[in-house]
Order: sequence, then C-alpha cells, then structure tokens
Amino acid sequence: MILPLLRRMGQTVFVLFGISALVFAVFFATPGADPTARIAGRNAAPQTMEKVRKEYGFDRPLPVQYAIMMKKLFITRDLASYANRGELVVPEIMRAAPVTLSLVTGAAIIWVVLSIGMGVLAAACKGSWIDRLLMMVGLIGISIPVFWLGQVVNLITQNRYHDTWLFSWVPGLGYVPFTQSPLAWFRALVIPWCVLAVMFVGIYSRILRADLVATMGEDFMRTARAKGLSPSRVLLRHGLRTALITFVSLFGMDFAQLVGGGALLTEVVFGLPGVGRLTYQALNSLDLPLIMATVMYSAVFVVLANAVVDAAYLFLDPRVRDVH
Amino acid sequence: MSTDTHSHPLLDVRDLCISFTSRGQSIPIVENMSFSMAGREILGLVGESGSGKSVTAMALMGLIDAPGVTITGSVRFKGQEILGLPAREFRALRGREIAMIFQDPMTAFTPVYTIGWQIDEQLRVHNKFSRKQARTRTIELLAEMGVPDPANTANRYPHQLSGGLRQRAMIAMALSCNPSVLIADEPTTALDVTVQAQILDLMRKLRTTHGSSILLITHDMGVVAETCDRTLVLYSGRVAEEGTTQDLFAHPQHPYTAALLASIPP
Amino acid sequence: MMTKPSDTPRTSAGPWQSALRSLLRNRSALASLAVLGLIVLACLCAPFYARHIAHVDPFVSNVAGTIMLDGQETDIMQPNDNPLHLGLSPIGPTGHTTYLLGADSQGRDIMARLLYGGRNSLLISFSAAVLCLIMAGAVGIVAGFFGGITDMVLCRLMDIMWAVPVYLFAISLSIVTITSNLRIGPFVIEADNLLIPIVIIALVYVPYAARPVRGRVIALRQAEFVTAARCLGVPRWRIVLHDILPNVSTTLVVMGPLLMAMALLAESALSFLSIGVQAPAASWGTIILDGEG
Ligand SMILES: Nc1ncnc2c1ncn2[C@@H]1O[C@H](COP(=O)(O)OP(=O)(O)OP(=O)(O)O)[C@@H](O)[C@H]1O
Ligand SMILES: [Mg+2]
Repeated sequence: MILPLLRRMGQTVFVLFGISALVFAVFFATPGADPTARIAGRNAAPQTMEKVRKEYGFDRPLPVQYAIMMKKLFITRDLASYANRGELVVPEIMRAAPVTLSLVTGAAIIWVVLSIGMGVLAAACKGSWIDRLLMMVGLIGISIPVFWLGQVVNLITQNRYHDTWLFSWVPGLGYVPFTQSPLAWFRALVIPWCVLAVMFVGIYSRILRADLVATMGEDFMRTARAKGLSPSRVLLRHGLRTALITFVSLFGMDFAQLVGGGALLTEVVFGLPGVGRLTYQALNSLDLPLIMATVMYSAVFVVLANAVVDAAYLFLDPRVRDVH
Repeated sequence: MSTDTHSHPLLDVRDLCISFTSRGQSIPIVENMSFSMAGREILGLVGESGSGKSVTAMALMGLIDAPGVTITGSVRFKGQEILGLPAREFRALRGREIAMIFQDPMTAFTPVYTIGWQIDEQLRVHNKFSRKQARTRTIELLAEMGVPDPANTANRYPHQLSGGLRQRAMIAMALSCNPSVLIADEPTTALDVTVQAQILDLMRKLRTTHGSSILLITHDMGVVAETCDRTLVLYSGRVAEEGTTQDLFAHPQHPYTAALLASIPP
Repeated sequence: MMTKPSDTPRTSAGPWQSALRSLLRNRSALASLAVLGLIVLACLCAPFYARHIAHVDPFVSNVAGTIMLDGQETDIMQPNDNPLHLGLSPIGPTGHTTYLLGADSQGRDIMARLLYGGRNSLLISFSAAVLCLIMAGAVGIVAGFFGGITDMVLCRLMDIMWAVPVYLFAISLSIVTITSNLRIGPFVIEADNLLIPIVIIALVYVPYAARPVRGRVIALRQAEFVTAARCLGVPRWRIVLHDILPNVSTTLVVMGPLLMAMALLAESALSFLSIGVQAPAASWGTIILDGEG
C-alpha cells in the first residue's frame, strides 16, 4: 500500500515539472515575436520593455528564464500583470478560486446524482422504451455546447420570461459569496450548476449504463442472484458498486479538468468571476502573465487531483492494491 | 413437513422442456427431461459440452430470465411446484432451500467485497442475524470446509485466495442456510487435480454433516464413478440413460454412454 | 488471414468491408450520416444561397439597411417595443428567403452567416480531426513499434500534454499565435489564418488519440504475421507500411467521428472566446457570441 503511493508521488512530481516546462515553452519559446513584447502588453513604452527584459531575464539563457518564472509564480508569488497596472496575479487567482469551486462542486453533485439515477434505471430496464428514451436524452445533452445552452437559458430567464412567475426569482448574472448570504449564493448558482451539469449527465449516464450492462453478464452477478438477493440489491450492491470504480476515476479527471479551466465557458456566460473568467478577461486584454499563471495553477491542480483519484482507486478496488 | 418428504421425492422433474427463440425460430435446448432426487443422494448429471447441463441447472434455480425463453413441464420441490413461482417466493427458496456452486470460483465472487462479507450477506438475507452472529456463523462454516485460519480468511478479498480456497468458500456460502438441494455445476473443472480430489471429498462428506442432496454436474466420468450414487446421462438435451452409477458403468445401455466410458483414461 | 494461400496479395479489404457492412446494418448511424451529409451540403452551398436566394452579403454590417418584405420596405433594425420606443433591436425571423432567421446585431443575415460559419466550423473540425489522426497515428506507431526508451519518452510527453486542461492548452497556444504572426523559418502564418485553429485543435487532442493506437500497435507487434515477417528479415519500414498501418487505420477511422465532434466543440468554444476564427469571417462559435449582444 505504501510503495505504490510513493511511486505515484514520484510520477506526480515528474509530471508537474514536465507541465511547467511545457507551459513555459508554449509562452516563451514559440517561434515568432519577442516574449518581452508579449508580457509588456500592447504598445508598451521602451522603458517598460527594458524593465520587463531585466525582470524576466530575457537576455539570459532559457533555463535561467524558466527558473525565474517558476520563482515568481510559486515562491515569491509576485508575478505582476503589466496590462492591468501591476496587479499581483497570484492573489487574484486565489480570490477567484472559490467561485470556480462553488460552481463545479454544485454541478458535480447534480451530475453524479442524476447520472447514477438515469444510468441505473436505464440498465434495469435494458431494451425497453425507458432505456431508449433516457439514452436519447443523454445523447442530446452531450451534443449541446454549454455556452449555447447557457445563453439560451439566460435569454429565457433574464430577458424573455424574467417577469413571469416562473423565473422572477432568478437574480441578475453574477456571484454572491456563500459567507455573505447562503441563499443568494444558491440562487445565483443554481442555474449555472444545471447548465454545466447537462453534458456530464449525458456522458456519465451513458457510460454507467454501458458498464452496468456489461457487469450484468459477469459470473458474480449470477452468484448474487443465486444467493436469493432481491434484484435491486443485486443491481446496486453488486453491480453498481463494481461499475462505480470506472465511474469514480472518470469523475475525478473531469472534476479536476473543470476546476482547472474547463468551466471557463460557463463562467463567462453567467458572469461568474471565477478562474475561468479571469482567464477570459486576460485574453481580452492580452494579459500574458495572468494567463500563464492561471494555466500553470490549473495544471498543477489537475495533476494533484489526478493523484488523489488514483489514491481513491486504490481504496475502491482491492485488486489494484496488491498489484505492485 | 417430514411426512411430506417421505411421500414425495425431494426434487421431482417431469417433462422439462427449455427452448430459446432466436430470429423467430424456437431452438430446443432441453427436451422432455425427467428425473427425481431423494434426500441425501448425490445425483450425477453428465454429458458433453453444450448438451444443456448448465441450462437445466439454471432452470431449477429459476435464474433463466433471458427474453424469448420458454420453459414447460414441472419441477416439484418437496411436493411444491416451483416452475412459474412468483419471483418473490422463488427468491426465498433460492439460496435457502436450493443453492448453487459455480464452475469458476475465480469469477464467481464479487471482486470488491471480502469473502466473509459475501457469506454474511447471504446469511442475513435469509435469517434474522445480526452482523456479529452472521460473522460467527461464517467463520464456523469456513472452518468446517477446511479453510485454515478462517477468521482471517473471511477478511480477505477473492483475488487474494487460491482457487481451492475460493471454491471452499463458495461451498461454505452455498451451504450457509442449510439448503436441502445443492446444485454443483462443474465445481472442480477449474481446479488442479489434488485440489479437485479434496473438494470432491468435501462434497461427499456434506451429506452426512449437512444432510444435503447434491446434483453434481460434470463431464468427467471419473468424478462420477468416485462420487455419485446415481447418474443421468444427457445427450443433446435428452436423457439418454439413467441408473445407479454401478449399473451404468457395468452395463451401459446407450452407445453414447459406452463411448463416454471408453474415453476415461485407465 | 495467414492460412490463406498466397494467391492474392494481402489487402486491408477485410476489415474495411466488415466495417462498412456493420455500418449499413446500423440504422441510427446511417440516419445520422445522412443528416450530417445534408448539413455539409447546405454549408457548401452558402455562397449560392447568399447571392441567389437571400440576396445579401453576410460580411458587411447593414445596420441602416432596409429589406423588401411582402412588397413593403422594412427596417432591419426595428425599434424596441417599450413605451418610448427606445433603442433598436435586429429583426427576428421573417419567414422570407431574405433574412430567413432574422438579423444579428450588425444587421447581417443570420441564415447566410450560419451557412458560411458552418463552412468554417466543418472545415476546421474536419481538418483538425484528420491532422490529429495523422499525428496520433505517427506517434502511436512509433511509440508502440519501437518500444523501450522511445516509447517511454513519448508516453510521458503525452501524459504531460493531457494533464493540461484541453481548453486552457488551446487558449495558451492561441493567445501566443494570434498576438503576432507566427514565423517558422521562411514561412509566415498570419494571425487570421484558419490553419492556426486547425493545428492547435489537432495538437491538443493528439494524446487522446495516440493512446489507443499505441495499444493496438503493441498488440499487433506480437501478432503472428508480424513475427513471421520479422523472422523472414522483412525490413522494419515495410512491416510498418504493409502490416501495421492498414490494421491501425481501422482504429483511426473509428475514432474519426468522435474526434471531429470534439474538434467541432473545441472550435466553437475557441471562436466563442474570439481566439478562433477571426472577424469578419464567421463560424458557429462566433455566431453564438454575436447572439450575446
Ligand atoms: N441465452 C442463451 N440463448 C441461446 N442459446 C443458449 C443460451 N444459453 C445457452 N444456450 C445454448 O444452450 C446449449 C446448452 O448450453 P449449456 O451451457 O447448458 O451446455 P453445458 O452442457 O453446460 O456445456 P458445458 O459442459 O460446456 O458447460 C448450448 O448449445 C448453448 O448454445
Ligand atoms: Mg456448463
């Protein structure tokens, strides 16, 4: 149990290094213009350019530049944006993170509950019209781009039908911190949660159904039935529990991807000031340090989350525990 | 109940027919099968691969629910007709009165639960046992089946046990509710020869220790000769021959039985 | 396949034919294919539609323009129906060939833009999917066939690329390329070139597609006919070309539609963030963005 965890940690450290090198290379070693100009922003004064060149060591070799950048990002955390008058980037990300986490966590709860319900129901009614209907709904969910859905929902709840009794409770776009008012927080987020969850409900219910149907053909399911267990117990305690292994590992990856920037489109559409929207604003003002920092922090988060998922995997599947 | 068992055979199968429908055609798998089992009897069911042995066993357990299957005839257990019994009532019988052991102990346990958990589960479904009572009984059963260090073994996962141990655990699970009939579908095929002998030995003892009758499905005539009181030879879904094992081996009537006997290595 | 006498040269017809046959049997797949074909056809006809059916130019803004509806001249930008008639909003669906779906905030025909945008979206996602498959095929075959150090390095690289959230990776690449023209040696790729989103999207999904290819190649490497060819002293490149490639190509083709769907979503997301297709050109993503105003 300890050895695989240690090995896994070694891999994680390696991947973290690799990612930082990759992101660094994308921003500072792509052929083309001078990175100084990119950092300094549009139409920067020559003095600024000179200052940037000194500060980031662009007159020195690449490894030194890399080291300087990492120090600014993770150790001194004083990376400043030039497009935004010296605003410190890392604290800005830290302020935005809770918004993204609120958004993604809520959506995740919705999609896990709904997709388990739909997947189990479809598998239990395999071949019937219920099964076909649920899977069709799932497919539709998968194929709707989240930003389109978000805009349509906004159009309905904010403009067209905002004054009807159905949607009059919907607050304007934006975020309210949980600490300020839990109810307002919930009201501001409930629609974004649902919109973000739609695609994942589709994906996960379909995957879960397929897994469950495959599991039903297994010998141990036959054993469970031969023991005289009720069909629901066979399906849930034996089938679902086994199928959940894949489900959980997928969930971990997607959750991490969403927190690490995948929820960007939803945040933009609903005006939620999370990490994703921060990136979006940085895109519009061409604020390279900010973008780089968000990408780097997101990647780090994704890698760490993946490590946690692997640990969960060890916990969920006794077979993996003894492999190494 | 005891008078009942005297007047009726324990398990009485009459004219059992099973057919699958595929592409609009009905394909008979088992045709007009009839046999009966007395208490404390070991009945062998032999036949080549695909002759319908497993399908028969699953039908007796009421576990065939594939669409397009028709089962006709009658299966009486202690005088009660069980074919077409409502699902809930059949479930109460399954595992408690009629239990089954499967061929491959490797895949027959749910991989994510300990062996003990899975035996406890069966005990608790059929009896009003507390967690603790169930576990005590589980450990007793495992010890009875010759599992070394039963208390620890109960806490292990299926993949952590050897094939022989797993099959012993499987038998312990099947016997946990003292079923009257135990159906064993090729219980030793996946095991190596020495373990096979131990398991067969164990099964022979069961009728004295637990008073069970066993329907032993196999295609190994050697196993039949060693273990079974009576034997049923199945040939492409029909009963080719039936009799006490001794008679059958001494004077095979059906050419197929003779061929099967000739195939035993000396 | 190997047991056959060598009277016919080995071809990849077997897997292809069976794939085709199973496709023909799958009715819902056929229906989807037909719908996709219709959409592609409609998009290909975009210029024809704009010029001869709708009589509009979907690339210039037309805020002050008027159109003829039922013989009446109608403003494209209609006054809002609030009591004071403050502000203007674009005309909604007209039910006529001109401005069939109405106008966008700049007074351009949405239907025509939708078709033009579809051309870009489909072109980009199709090319990106193909390019991605080619790159993934190359990476997967090299990693799987040569194994050892090569395999390890490539696999780790793919792991690392895949750990960066897809959209963020694409965004980083886009922001770097659209801030200035990309210069690779003597070639200059302009910032509004469609090649940029194509390459970016293809690149981002390479790790996703290369993994199954590598698995397939490793399985094939141990297959009998490859071992036999090796024992006969057939050069490696011939084995790759004649034995591995045809077998891997089925894996690649199966992944194609899925990749194209993901590329389509990625493209519209990038364009929605205005770092994909650049104005005044349209794509489905930019059109959704226009609708926001
Ligand atoms: N669900 C099913 N649908 C259609 N045919 C089936 C189904 N299940 C079993 N069969 C057919 O029933 C026949 C008998 O199968 P069965 O498993 O009972 O054979 P068996 O005697 O147990 O063989 P073995 O010794 O290999 O276990 C086989 O020809 C099989 O193809
Ligand atoms: Mg069988």
